[in-house]
Amino acid sequence: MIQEITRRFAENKNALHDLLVVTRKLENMNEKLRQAEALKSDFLSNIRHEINNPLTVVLGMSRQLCSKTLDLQTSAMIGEMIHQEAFELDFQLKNIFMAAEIEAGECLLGISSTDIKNLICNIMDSFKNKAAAKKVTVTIECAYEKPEEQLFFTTDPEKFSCILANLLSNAIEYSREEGHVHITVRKKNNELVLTVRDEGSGISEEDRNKIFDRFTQLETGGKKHHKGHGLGLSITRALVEMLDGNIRIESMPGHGCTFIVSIRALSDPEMTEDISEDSNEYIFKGTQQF
Amino acid sequence: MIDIKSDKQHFLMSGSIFVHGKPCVVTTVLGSCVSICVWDPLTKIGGMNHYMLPFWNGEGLASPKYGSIAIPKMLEKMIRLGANKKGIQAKIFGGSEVLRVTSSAMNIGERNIMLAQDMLQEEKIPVISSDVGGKTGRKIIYDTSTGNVFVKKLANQIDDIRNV
Repeated sequence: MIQEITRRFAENKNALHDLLVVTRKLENMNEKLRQAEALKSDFLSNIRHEINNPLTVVLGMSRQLCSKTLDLQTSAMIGEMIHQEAFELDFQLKNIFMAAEIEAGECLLGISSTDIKNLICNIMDSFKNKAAAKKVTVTIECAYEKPEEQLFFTTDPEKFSCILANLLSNAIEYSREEGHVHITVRKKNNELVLTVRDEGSGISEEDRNKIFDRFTQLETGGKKHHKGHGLGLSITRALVEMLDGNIRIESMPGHGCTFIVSIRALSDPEMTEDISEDSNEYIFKGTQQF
Repeated sequence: MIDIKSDKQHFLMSGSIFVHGKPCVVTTVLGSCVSICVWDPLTKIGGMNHYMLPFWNGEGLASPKYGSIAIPKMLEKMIRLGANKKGIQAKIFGGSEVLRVTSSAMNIGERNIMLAQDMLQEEKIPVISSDVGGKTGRKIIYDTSTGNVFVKKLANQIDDIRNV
């Protein structure tokens, strides 16, 4: 009898403990969802600012460009400014559309053999004005398996570009004036490792967990608001996962940080999963119908 | 011999949703992930999701890699395309324990299955058949023109199942 009571008591104690653990988890989850909701509200006011600012510049400058009294040099300068602001707007909007696509589960992969170095150079080129405005130099280093080969890798070039553009944009944004951003890319067998190193103020251990959350921006060097909407890194991580890879950060506060992305070469499922008459026998062997 | 009627093919990536009004053959590979195939026999609108974890905890994007996001979003899309919610039927697949877990704690697969059953019950959508659990992965071929789902059990080749 006593043994039975002791056993039941122990069982109840365990069940109570489990219940407490689950309750605590639920409370944490609730708190996180509350925070996410608050961040979403911030995002809406933030995004207004992000779209309004470049648009104001584009509208004002294009009006000036219409004036016939401008000399060629000033026109070129204004044209460059309009292009820069329009590029920034395009980049922000593409990110928002990408986030919407991922959240709707409609993000499809378009896999092809991609010239990685060419792709990186194109992205570096599109960010050269942003880098020049902060006097940041951007360099690239490619490690080839065979030096005579070009760096071709089977992946989704659009998603890879989006990953790099976000990392590079962040690296320039958070870099110190006249700093240096270094990109390295290395291919080993089936894996491609991309690193983006900046000389900014770095990311503390505590912040590393939250930077991948949507609508999150770090306050660095007393600067509360950086450009952007705080979606970049959450999109980056989601895309890296889509490309069958992972992303991690190495950083020492005050000494910049390095984002390391490693992705695996993908095969096109639509090509390998072809349900043609020839492959029917193999695919349907041992199938059950439900 | 099985009979596939649709010509249009789609491979469903993990964390994605597919809903279409036209007949399609949707294929995916599942480990501990779960796919719910929904079908409205009247309008012949079919949908399928492929989620990896049960709950979104507020971290990262609210993507359909979490069941709590993927299930309502898929049903929303079905209804938007003209499916009648009262007529929608569901079939649940996947949720196997592909990685040998020694702990007796509930594994991800089991939690994914439970979420599917609970949420569908909440939405009052009948589960007309399912093939869940076990220790092997599955390849799912879903013909949305008939609502038929063909399941091929994969041998214990964990490396083959990249979408755990």
